[in-house]
Amino acid sequence: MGDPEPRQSRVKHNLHGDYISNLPHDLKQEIFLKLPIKDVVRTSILSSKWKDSWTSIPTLAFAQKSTDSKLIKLVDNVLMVHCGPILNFKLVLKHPCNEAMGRWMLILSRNGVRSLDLRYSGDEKCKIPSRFFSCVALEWVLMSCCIINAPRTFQGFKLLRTIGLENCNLTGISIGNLVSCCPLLEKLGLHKFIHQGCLHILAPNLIQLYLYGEFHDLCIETPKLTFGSIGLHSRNRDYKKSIAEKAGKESNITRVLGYLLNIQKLHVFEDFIDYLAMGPIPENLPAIFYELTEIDVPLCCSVQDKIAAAFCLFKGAPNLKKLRIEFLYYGGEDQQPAQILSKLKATEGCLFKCLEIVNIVHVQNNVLLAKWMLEFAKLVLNTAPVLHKLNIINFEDATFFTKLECFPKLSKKAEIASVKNDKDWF
Amino acid sequence: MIRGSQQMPESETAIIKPEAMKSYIWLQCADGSIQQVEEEVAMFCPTICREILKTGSGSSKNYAISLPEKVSPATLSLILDYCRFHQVAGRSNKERKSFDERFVKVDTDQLCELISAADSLGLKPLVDLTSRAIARMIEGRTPEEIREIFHLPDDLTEEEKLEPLKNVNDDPRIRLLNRLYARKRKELKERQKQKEAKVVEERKDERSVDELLSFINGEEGSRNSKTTKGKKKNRRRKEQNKDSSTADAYHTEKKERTSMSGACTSSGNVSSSPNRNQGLREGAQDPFALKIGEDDYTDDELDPAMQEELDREVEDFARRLNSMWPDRVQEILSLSQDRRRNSSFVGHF
Repeated sequence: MGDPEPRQSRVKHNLHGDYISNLPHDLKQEIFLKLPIKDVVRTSILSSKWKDSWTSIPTLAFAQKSTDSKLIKLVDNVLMVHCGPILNFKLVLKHPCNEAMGRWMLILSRNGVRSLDLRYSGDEKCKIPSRFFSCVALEWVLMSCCIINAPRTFQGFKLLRTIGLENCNLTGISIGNLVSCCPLLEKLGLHKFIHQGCLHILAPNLIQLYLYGEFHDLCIETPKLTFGSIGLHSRNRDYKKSIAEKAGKESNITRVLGYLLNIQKLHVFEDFIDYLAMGPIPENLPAIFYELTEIDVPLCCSVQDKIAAAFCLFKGAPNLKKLRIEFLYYGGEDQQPAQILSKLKATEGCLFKCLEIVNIVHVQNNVLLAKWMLEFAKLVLNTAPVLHKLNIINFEDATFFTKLECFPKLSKKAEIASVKNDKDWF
Repeated sequence: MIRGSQQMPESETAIIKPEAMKSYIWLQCADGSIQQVEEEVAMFCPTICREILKTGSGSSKNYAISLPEKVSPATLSLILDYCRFHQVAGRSNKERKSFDERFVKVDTDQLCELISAADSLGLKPLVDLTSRAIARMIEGRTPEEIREIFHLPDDLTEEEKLEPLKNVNDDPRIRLLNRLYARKRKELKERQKQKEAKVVEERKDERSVDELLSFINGEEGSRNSKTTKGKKKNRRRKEQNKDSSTADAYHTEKKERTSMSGACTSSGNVSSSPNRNQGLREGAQDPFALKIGEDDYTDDELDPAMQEELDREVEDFARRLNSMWPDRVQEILSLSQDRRRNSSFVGHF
């Protein structure tokens, strides 16, 4: 190395020994970005050079645990003194404050807001003012417990890439139409939504989809989709009146999932497997999913159709690496798991060829369920040549594990483990 | 130490790289001092890298790359240490993180030099690291403490310090201010009996400024006993819906299912607590009713465990919306505008 000065050498001070006031503006912004908003505003009384430094920060996040009235005051104050574009706005409130929301949305729409994160947690939902729809620069939206009433003149958000609606009501426009009028949409997440009729999602650029709610039918045309996590919640089994039941031609699984050629990770939960299993289950899906490396699906024991639907997916994913199965007991006669499973297993023998990790999740206490888990584990051990780990989640029956250890393993490296929970699966 | 570049011919175009020897880059600080550093370490700095690729300089002592003024020799050493550590590909996240934590344990003035220098060399991860360290020094501290740490002059007049309030023309606020001043005056009168008049005067000024500012800015310091209006109705309903099944991630979902169906049966929107609705509607009459402190009807808490669970659920949801499943490491090291904006967003809870 050259001849560097000793590290302890005193650095030359700036004017009057002030260390940071002369930092360039964007470095000060970097620092502000990492501070809670109250501390940011307080810098205005530090010194003359700091009086107005904070007023042009592009990100405003009001997320402290504070009473609503104080938070509203704070937001009002900050918005009043703030000057310049507001690119990111985040607000966490306990209860809706519709009037305040109205004036804030006005300011935001005039200041080019690009990402909006509004979270309410009360029982009553917050009404999003119509000014929201004038925020033409929006790219990222997350809303929790809101009522969104779209005006008839709404043309869509042309730059919007991510929408996340949690426990929201969308009126004046259907989910499908909202998606269609946002052409750049890449990520869509709908949690706890209620949709009447068929949910039609046509999004040519959609990459990630998360759905959990009530709907009768699903139709997704998303050729670029790589991540899909879909759960169907249903009180009255309304989806039973689904298209498949009526038409009887194509099964739901083929219609909904059959053409997602780019899918990499697929997660099916709650009653969605039930929905997928309606209609005649094909032996194989029309396409092979070469990119599909992760599947998380429930295995509804003793209901053959649902198990067949799951196996349909397995057979269509030759490169499957990670598999997670929740075992649910749905009643039905006590059939022989071994027989059913071996019948479903592909005869060509390409099932589980690349499978490395399997998580078998125990959910309910049921003797028959344990039998199914055992048989499935046996199947996996028998057919997966590169299996690395077989994890049994949330189940600590000693005899189960002893039996499990006795099964022949096709892969020498296969390890069986008992794990409390697999919250880190995602 | 191999001084390979000293054996190079005078022509600036020929760069001999014998296999056995590493190649070095020469860097010159504003004060004239020159340092020599391994090529891959220097290339970690985008500005230096660009300079090398564009002009081909830096390969010899005579053609050293001139660094921006902000980079002093001492700071350069530190930065090169940083680069040398991080440019090695095989390190784990944990290793990098603990190196970073140790790295920012320097004097305040050195830290401020570092952020400046890192910025002028285009080292975004280091700017991020140092700005976070500086933010930690500011967070939660009083203005006096911050001025002390960073040697800031206290050159604002009392009036200027109250300025944010001047922008506000609302009557309720001025009323509040007067109320607060009156309260303060009363308090201080009592204290004057015990302490010196001069000391009290000074303290009054300082504290009044801070307290006013913090009150207006929404400090939770005021311990309101008006908080627990106890809307027991809602709490009970929420608790009923809580399943007593095991705390497995998917059981949580089942819990959510029952509570969601609960909400659905009441057609999703209207809550079943008339008291609370009334309270809200009252406030809704006056559009600018910034009722400060008095009607803290908004203060009642949901059962905190339930609240936390709901919060966590929404956080999970938000995280899902942000996360790109592949490489987490890639996410951390690459600072695309999108990710930085969104992650500082969600993580700002």
